[in-house]
Amino acid sequence: MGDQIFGSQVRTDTLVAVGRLGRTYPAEIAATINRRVTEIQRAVATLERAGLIVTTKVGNTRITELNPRYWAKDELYALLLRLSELPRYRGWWTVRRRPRAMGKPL
Amino acid sequence: MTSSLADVAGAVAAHLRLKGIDVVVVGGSAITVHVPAVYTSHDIDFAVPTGQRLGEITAALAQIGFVRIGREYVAPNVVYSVDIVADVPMIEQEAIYDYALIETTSGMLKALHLEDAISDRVAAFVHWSDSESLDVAERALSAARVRIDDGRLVTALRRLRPEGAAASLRLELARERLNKIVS
Repeated sequence: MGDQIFGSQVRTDTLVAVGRLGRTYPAEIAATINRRVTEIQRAVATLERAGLIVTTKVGNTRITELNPRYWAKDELYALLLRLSELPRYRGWWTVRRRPRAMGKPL
Repeated sequence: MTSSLADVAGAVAAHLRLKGIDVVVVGGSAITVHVPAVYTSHDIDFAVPTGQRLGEITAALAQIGFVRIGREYVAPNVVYSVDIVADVPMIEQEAIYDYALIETTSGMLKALHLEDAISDRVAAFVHWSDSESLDVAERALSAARVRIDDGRLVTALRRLRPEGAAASLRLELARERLNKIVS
């Protein structure tokens, strides 16, 4: 159900993860959706060419997020948020996103 | 010292009260004191409505074996650490002055009302897309459904002020998920 609407399963999963997680990076996406990092890197490159996401290199990490200048960014985010609640994705979003103060154990 | 988070927090709060320091349990530990089965926090987050006086707090906690390491206070053989996180507890821009009283082995412990603690978890989802916080809010509401004051929960959720379209969509999603439990 709508699982390949962005061309392939891995591409759809990657985009849904970027939407749900916010700022993320390929290794985190790979761990979240249980794929190889190289698959995610390929999907990220394709989605970036399509203008849906943007990436920024910070140190050795390629920060990945939805393109804030995409013409339908709000509609895209609304769709991805809905998709992320499908049974396929429920249970994947366990990575902590809220801040943790310095000095507090993980 | 006793082993549940509420009892440890109660003992620490009772000792601090003797020193004129009033504390309130906030954050994830507030969920734990209300519904321990839903969420296990290993740190006790205290707000100090009378104002943080870290020197006095550090000296008082040292008397019961809690030593400051970094920003946390830890004691031997106590699995919970203590953290002083705020003055008056806040949810969004609103200060919270009305607290729940939880019975512990050391007397009554002040904590955020469960409805406020749930709203605080929803806020973490709205602002940081922290799905774990929304899951905790959902499980807490489900586990304590019969104890929840619906009016208080509605008021607590109304305090949330999402910034931007994405945060508004997350709040809408959170409300939908919580409404499924309430209705």
